[in-house]
Amino acid sequence: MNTKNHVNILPEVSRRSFLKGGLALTGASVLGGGALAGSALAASVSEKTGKSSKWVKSYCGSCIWANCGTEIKVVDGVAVEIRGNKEHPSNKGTLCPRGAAQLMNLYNPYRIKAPMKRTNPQKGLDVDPGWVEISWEEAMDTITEKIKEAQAKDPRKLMKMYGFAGNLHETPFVKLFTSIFDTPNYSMSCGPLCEVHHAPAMFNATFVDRIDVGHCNYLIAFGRNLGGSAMFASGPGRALSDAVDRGMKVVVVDPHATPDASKGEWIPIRPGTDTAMAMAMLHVILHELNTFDVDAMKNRSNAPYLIDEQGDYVRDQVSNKPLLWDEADNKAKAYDDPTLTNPALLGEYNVNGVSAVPAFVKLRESVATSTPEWAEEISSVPAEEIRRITQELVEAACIGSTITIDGVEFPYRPVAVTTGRGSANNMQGMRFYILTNIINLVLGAIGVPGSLVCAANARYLFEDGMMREYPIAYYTTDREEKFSIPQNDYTIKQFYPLSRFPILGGTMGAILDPQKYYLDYDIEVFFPYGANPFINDADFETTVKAFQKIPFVFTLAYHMDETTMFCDIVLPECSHLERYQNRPIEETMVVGRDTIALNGLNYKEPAVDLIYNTRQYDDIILELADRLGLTPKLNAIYNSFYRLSGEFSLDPGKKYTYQEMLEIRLKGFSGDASKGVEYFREHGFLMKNKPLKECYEYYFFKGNGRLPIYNWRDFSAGKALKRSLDKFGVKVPGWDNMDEVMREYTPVPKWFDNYLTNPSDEFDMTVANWKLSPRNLGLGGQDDNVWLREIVETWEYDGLNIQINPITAAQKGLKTGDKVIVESQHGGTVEGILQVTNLIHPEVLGFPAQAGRVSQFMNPISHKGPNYNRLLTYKEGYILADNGSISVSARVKIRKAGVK
Amino acid sequence: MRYGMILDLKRCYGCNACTVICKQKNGTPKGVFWAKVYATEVGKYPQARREYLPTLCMHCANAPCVSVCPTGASYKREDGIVLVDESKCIGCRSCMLSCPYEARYFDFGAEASYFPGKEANPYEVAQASKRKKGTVNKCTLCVDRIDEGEIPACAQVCPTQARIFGDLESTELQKLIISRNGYQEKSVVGTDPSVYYLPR
Repeated sequence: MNTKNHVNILPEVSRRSFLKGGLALTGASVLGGGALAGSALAASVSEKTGKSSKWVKSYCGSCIWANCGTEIKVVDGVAVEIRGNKEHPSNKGTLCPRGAAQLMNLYNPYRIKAPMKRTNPQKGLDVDPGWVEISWEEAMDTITEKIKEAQAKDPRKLMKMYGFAGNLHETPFVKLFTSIFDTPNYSMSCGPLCEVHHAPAMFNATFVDRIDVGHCNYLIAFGRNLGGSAMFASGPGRALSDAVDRGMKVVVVDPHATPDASKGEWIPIRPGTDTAMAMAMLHVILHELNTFDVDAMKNRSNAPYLIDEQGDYVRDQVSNKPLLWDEADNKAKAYDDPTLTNPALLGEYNVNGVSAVPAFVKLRESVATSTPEWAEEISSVPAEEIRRITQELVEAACIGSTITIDGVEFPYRPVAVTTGRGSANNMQGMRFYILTNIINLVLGAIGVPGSLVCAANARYLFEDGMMREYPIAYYTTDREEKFSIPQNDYTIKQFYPLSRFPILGGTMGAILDPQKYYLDYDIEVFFPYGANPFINDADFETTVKAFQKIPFVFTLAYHMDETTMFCDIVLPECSHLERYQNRPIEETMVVGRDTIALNGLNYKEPAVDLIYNTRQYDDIILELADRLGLTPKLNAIYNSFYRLSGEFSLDPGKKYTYQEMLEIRLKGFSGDASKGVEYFREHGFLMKNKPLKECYEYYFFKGNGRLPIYNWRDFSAGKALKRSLDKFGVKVPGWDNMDEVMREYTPVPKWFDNYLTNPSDEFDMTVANWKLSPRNLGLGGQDDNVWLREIVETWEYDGLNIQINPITAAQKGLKTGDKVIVESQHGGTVEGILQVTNLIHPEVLGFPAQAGRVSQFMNPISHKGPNYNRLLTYKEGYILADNGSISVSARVKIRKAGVK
Repeated sequence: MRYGMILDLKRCYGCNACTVICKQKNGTPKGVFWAKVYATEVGKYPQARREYLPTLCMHCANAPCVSVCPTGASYKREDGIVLVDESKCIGCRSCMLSCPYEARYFDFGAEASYFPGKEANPYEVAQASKRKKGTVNKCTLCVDRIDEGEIPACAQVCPTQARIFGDLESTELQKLIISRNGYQEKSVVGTDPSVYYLPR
């Protein structure tokens, strides 16, 4: 493989430029920069030392949103420094601690240095695989043979897994693997703990919604990182800081006081009870204040859609279009009737002999009794606090006012109620996320300046006059048509029609007992890549058994992590500073005025020659495809994925290297033959920013599609599922009470007691978990990065300790430094050191980040601290019934270690 | 001309990007932090919150480390930057005792590698010449970068732009300090630090 470094070494250039006395300020600061950037191709040979030195343009690979442009200083072939690229509009020369630490990821002696095969057939987390080094040829021969053998019997016997392990899934061939290699089977180690995509799809036509803090004045965040708590340097941290400087009020509702909360107000809450509090907020808005955006309700939502007694839309008998009641002439009309003037929000009507009410009535009724006093009992948030912040929110919403952007008049609603994983990945979490968006919509604050908005490149579909949730793959009618017994695939998604990701617990259960899951074939070859369900997810014991059962497992890995312990062959992977790659620039989560419109492409190539005998994932895929005769298919899929055509597209009949494919991809993106690899090598990125007006989806929705205050689609998905299960006479493992399953599909907010809120046994506390700046998703090798670990243990306030409130600690006779054992209601236990702090709810034990790695082949520094996920479960019956995710919380009890 | 830094506590989220980039750019050994962020909590539940205090060497105008140094190893440049000339340092550590800000570290012969039992990696080998056993080290305000027309690594890296580098005698920085009630840490000790804090 070609490992040559393509960065030009130019003749010596003088870069010395001394500061003059008059140059007062060069900080990348609020007062503006003035610093002299190193030129893109700057390379020089030092007069003093005779060493060659250059700065290589790259982008960061230490988190899921690889937006940040970087520069790597290479002296005599050694990377000695990384800094942010000052010309890059995302990070503007800055970095987060994870990005700043990446040299120790590149030069980590615990990396895998050559292909390995196991000699010990026994597999386990504590079993020595007896690794022996083999050649690339032997490794690839074996893998190819195994895939061929299995797929000759049934192509579905090959399964892929990925998700948030040591390395970043930045490559296109992670997503494209299943279509290239013709199997429906994939799994994700991160999926069950990432339930944050459904509501953004429904309300913003987007995968991850973004808070427009450039305009927002009042922001309520439930269990969500706003960009400062777990720092994102590409823009969220800066945007949040700018907004707080400008005077934006931040209210953080969370079991623990985050760094973001410390810049505003902290409202502590019991985990898993957010739905009760949000229902009380909606109660205050609709029943106490009776103040909402009437225009948004009548014209931008399905509030006027008529609902019959079964909960369905009342439809026109001929056109099948949903009907509304026009108060102007007291007639039922289709949503797109040109004579529709004044849709009714209240009242009861008789249409086609059916009694019906506007959806708005259903919504109001659903929160009629959910008073703040009721919610206080459940959530522990004082009723007067719920009233106060709701009133402040409504007042700050500026209902009725407008703002003009790019010549387009938008509603101006500078408020947002936002949801993150801490709240959404919990009991009724999907409903909760939708509920907070209903609150936004009731105030008109969605898709408009100051509110929660779409990410770049959202696509819009409309159906029944409603915006249809584009990124959700499986849904109602399509799902019912495709429902099959035996099941076609191991994702188990057909039992969870609202799931975004495969159901890990279901997949592992199905591997162990296919019949129980209505499957009539086994998985024979398994390729986990960038996946670590043993650490990143619950119930590792079950996962161990499933991995042990699959006859052939192989991976490509950066270090010998827990997943490699179950592999027959391990291929060594390039670190992300040794790869050729590209990645879209799309600012995420929190956007400011300088980042909302950013849209572009980052590029990188190896900053240094390969340190070990490693290859990158893309090369492996190209070779495997070639060996299996799939190159033409791969090329065609690549073209369609990147929408490449004509001059800038792959010839399906030709075999390319990944660098050649990147050249075509870059030209396809820029649409310019002169802007290929060479251009990107010099600059590191290319921007094609969005017009500002297109950053607010109101621009696309208005007059085309409404948003749901009444969730007819999810409600229908539940009914379709029930029909399918009844038709085939199927019982999903763990579903003993179908009423409890079906109630999750409620079209309006509803509260249910659950295993987190009904403490009826000895488990008297709940646990919560959050990201840290030096350790967020674990991507980019954060657990064994020596600098990041030192920071976590030395300077990070939360560290690796278990947090407890002083009131509770006193009651239990516990103190800071005590070694404790925490036992979960699901059976898992973890051990850790206690830290008494006022930053946590008295009924909650706090677990910052994630630790406690167990692979004996990783740097021992990664073994310290508790592994939080051991307290959780993906067992049958505990998987969240509508979406297949699992709760990030559990009830637990705590005791001093050594004391029974 | 007086180089210094203004640290905006309202914009600091305690992420420690400065702590890491300082280690990376300057190649400091394990346990040595020329830049760092002290994190504390204040208040009782539920009115509790986090506070952060990012730090570096204060490059004091009246630097006690310079006046106590018996050999002239600790010295102050005309632009206000306080440095240590390793070739003159005899390792007496008087400067460390005199520093009110715990900004100085002594090199007892630090391990060559961050990875116990492993040889220094290529990056660490490249950084090795920056260390000298038996001498005192500290933040140089990235004088090498300043002399090349750049700003200190911690000021560039800060994702919330809480670290503002420049000439403290300039009108812009003076204005910023005054308008935001900027203050110096432990000003009572009279060292006149070149690092100002803007309260939250």
